[in-house]
Amino acid sequence: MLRTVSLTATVLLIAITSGLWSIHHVLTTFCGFDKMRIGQWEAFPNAGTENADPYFLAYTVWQGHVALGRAEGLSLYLWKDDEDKPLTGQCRYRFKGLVPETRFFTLYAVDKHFIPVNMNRLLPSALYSHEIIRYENTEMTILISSTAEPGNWLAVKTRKEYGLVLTLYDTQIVTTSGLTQRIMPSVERIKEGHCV
Amino acid sequence: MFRVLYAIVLGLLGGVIIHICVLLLISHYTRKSIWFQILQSSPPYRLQTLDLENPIMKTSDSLFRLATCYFHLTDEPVHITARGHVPFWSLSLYNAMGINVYSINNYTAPNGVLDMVVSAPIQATVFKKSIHMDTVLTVQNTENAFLILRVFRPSSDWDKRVAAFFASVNCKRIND
Repeated sequence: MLRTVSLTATVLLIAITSGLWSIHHVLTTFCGFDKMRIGQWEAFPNAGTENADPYFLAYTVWQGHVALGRAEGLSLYLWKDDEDKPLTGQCRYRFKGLVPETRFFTLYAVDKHFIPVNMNRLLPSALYSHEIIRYENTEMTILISSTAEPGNWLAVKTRKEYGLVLTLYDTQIVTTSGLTQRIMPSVERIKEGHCV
Repeated sequence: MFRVLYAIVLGLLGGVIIHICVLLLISHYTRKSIWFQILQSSPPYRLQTLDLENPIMKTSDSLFRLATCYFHLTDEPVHITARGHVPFWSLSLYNAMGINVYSINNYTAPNGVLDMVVSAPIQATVFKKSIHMDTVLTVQNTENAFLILRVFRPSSDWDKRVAAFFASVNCKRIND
């Protein structure tokens, strides 16, 4: 009798603990199977649509995140530099290259909950395409750091890890097939001090 | 030993079942869902601009200002209009599950003007002949829906125009 009760209790304990832990992990970190990778950038072309998998739907509902519609735009996320190291506010980065065709885009940094990092009206904490200076070869170079930089500068005032959000507005690239074969800008760590 | 293994396997199987059940039910019952947030923010058929502390605003593009309006398509079609010049606006319709069912922006809208009717399928057959030819008619098979209107605000210089644009928005029943 006691053996049966203890066995049943063990089964229930493992079931409830593992089930709740796994669902908590899904709701806070896992974005589902629809993730599309272009280099180090990630996109979710099916976000907010009926085709989104249940994991992504649950994740976005739980986080309170509302996806853009197809006629609005597409957000791309970057959490690591081109050496596969997490972006951190203790280092400086160089965002370089061309952005896929779009009417305009915005670029800003977010924490792991997708909340913009330390928005400050006096600093360029978010950039948009029309205010970025392009040089002779039409590529753009943006320096990303917590301290002032010459030229194009995205201010990211944090000491923690963060991600970059590049949102393309009114773009044709909103489907999975549209995202393949795209070349995305690179984000390289500027090697100095302890950032090597 | 075998009993312990048996308990672990059964427990993990139970965990999988709990995982699947909670995952499928989460969108219906969680209080943090977008639909609940919007229901609590304002009455229907009234545009509500979202302040910077709103959970939807917090996770949105910081260069945009957002406003929402929810409505019931079982009543009548809803007519959404706005006037004014802003650099870019876009609008998305969502059903009560937060699934995006339609979107439009100022480059895809006729003449760049926000003038849209959202209707249930049966109502559309009655109203489609009476609306203006530049009015966008979208038919949605859902009882409840909400919209999010996003307006690009490149700098604080645009604050007055953005506020005027939001103030000009009508989100009303078609016969109001």
